[in-house]
Amino acid sequence: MNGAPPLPPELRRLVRDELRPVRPLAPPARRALVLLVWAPVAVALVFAIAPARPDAADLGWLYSWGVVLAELAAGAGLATLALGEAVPGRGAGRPACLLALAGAATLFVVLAVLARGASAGVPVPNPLVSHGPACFALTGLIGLTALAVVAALILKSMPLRASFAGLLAGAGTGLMAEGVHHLDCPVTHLAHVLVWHGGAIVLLALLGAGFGLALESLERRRMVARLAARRG
Amino acid sequence: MDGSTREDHAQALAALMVAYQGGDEMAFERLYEALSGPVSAFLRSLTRNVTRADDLLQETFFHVHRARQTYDPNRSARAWVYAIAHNVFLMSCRSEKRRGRHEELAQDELPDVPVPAEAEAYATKDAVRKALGRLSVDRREAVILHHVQGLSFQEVGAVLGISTMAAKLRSHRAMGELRGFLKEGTSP
Repeated sequence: MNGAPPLPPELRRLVRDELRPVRPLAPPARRALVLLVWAPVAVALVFAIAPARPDAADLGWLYSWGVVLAELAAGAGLATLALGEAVPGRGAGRPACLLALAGAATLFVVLAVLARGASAGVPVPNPLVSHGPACFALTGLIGLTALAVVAALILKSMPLRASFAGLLAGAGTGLMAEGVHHLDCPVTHLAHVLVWHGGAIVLLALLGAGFGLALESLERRRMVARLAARRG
Repeated sequence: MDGSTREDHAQALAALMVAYQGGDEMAFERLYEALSGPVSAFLRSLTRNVTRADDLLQETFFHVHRARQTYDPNRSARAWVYAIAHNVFLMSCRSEKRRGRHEELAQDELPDVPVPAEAEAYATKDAVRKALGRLSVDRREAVILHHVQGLSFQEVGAVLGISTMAAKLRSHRAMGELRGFLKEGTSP
């Protein structure tokens, strides 16, 4: 006798009714590889709808494609952490994830400063306003497609604590979207990049967290309903 | 439980989980038999309420079933199940907080929860049980998982979502605090 109640009949019935073989989920890093497919498609779409930035020659390979690759890699890293957080007992832990978020934010700022140093970009009359909403919308839209992919992967883990995983996923996909958008936006003024591009990343992080909170709330309501049903 | 027995037990649990993932219903029942006792004791230590702990135990195994594909056969099955129990407990705390309900019992009504054997050297089991109730939930979890349930610090870290070092530190501090409470209780 171990002091625990015996297997409840309704749980036994549920297992019997629903039991079918399942394949264990692949490790988070391997599941995040799907973003390797997303990235070239997103780059191709951006090139299809907008011309390459006119200052690409000034930036050179390092500050154009180098920045893109660095932000894609860092964003995919955050998405991998998000997929790990969604699986019970698999997360890297809050402190490590917060450190990774801070590192990603720092990378974004440093790359913006370096790109500004390499090219003055296209001058705009008011960097805080000109092109801003368009860049915000495009980065947000690109990021939403990646966030949808990562959110679908998170859902497969049936997470109970999805808000932090969502936050990481949103920040990661936002950074990846910024990387892709870097190939198109010719404005390098820091006020523009930090406010509008950075704002889109923050918005995606909040959307990811909101998605996770909604999942948690739904799960809580279901739990309350199950408990009430058990108690009759 | 010595090292080799613990290793055998871990391998047996992992094998049950793999069989369960493969669609074996008996494997689920054996897994429940093996883990429901310790997980129930863990939940009783956290909730300090037998009825609530029993409800959360059912919820834990409900989620074990729903999320069985997330178990990685190369990792500890015990840590995976305890991580689900930990998440279910947090979810229920949030739910009760939102509804403005809190069902923790008074110290005199605490259920019979297991206590760390080391702490029993300082006081009676009943005194240790009450002192455990004075620890914050975070610290209580670390003590129960390591000193009572016998999880390694690596497993405790995985369950609580912290590093192995942080798990070690939390457990160490909690034991220190527990000893302090017990000394307070025994001093004239």
